[in-house]
Amino acid sequence: MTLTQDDIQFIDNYLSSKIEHIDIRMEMVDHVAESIEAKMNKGDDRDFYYIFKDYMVENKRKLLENNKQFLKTATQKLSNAILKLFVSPLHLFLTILISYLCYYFFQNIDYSYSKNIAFIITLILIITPAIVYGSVLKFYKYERFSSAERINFFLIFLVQLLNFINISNSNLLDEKPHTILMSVMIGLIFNFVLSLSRVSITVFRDCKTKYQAIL
Amino acid sequence: MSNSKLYKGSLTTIILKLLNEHDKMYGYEITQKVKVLTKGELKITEGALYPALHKLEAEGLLDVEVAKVDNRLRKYYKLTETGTKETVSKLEELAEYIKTMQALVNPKLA
Repeated sequence: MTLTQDDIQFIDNYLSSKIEHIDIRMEMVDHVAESIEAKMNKGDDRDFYYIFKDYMVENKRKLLENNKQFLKTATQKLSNAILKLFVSPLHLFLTILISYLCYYFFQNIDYSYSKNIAFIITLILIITPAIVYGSVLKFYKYERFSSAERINFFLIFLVQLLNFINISNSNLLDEKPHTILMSVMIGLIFNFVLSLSRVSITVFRDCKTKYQAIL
Repeated sequence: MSNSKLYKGSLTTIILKLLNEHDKMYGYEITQKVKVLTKGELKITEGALYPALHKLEAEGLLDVEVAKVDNRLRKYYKLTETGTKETVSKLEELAEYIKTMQALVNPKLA
């Protein structure tokens, strides 16, 4: 016995309030549907709704636990990929290059002005992809993927880090002798943004390939 | 999964072994296959199986394929090249472990 499209939709609607990401939810929907079908095939002749209710009472906690674990794994996977790129020879070379260029500019251009410009550019680099992602998702009504959305976690981390540096060390960084420190920090932030961008592209491509049936 | 803690450490190896024998499998299918093979002795719960599958996927040992089956989407797992190599190594490790335990618990059979 196979569940109808309406039954599947019912399971999906129920789980969507608890599991918002399609890549996690679809697996749970299939698992729940298979379990219910197995019960029906074994002779449970009750209506779908009652079998579903009993199943959820028994297994809901385990299903939601899986959701948390999935997000944890996705974050871990992204962290490893970012770190791998961050310490790669090309990225380290670019970090040194950017740091040197910043140092050169700070020596020749007004330090305070260029420091503010550097912060604004970095913030734009971080905020723009988040706004574009949110807008595209809303406008085209795309499904949400956990692996893609976990990237936000790193963007938020970076914004908080920049905010922390800007506020807590504003006096320190405003002093001219600290141009080296400032240049190195910009180089490292550039490396992080670049690593995150490259990982994001890989993640989006990966989602497109794996979940072609949904898109 | 069965209450026995002894089985918990072998979950990854069990999954890899099953996927090595089948082209591709989905979550529920794995739980049922294990149940049949162990005559109901080992029951893998969704709370243990899916995190393990996702971890293996994150480590690059498994690849994912999504297909529409019976009005719904189904996520199939299959071994990657690295996964196949890892399966051999994990099985050897497990065989060695069983041999050692056999020697300790029942020296006559070892």
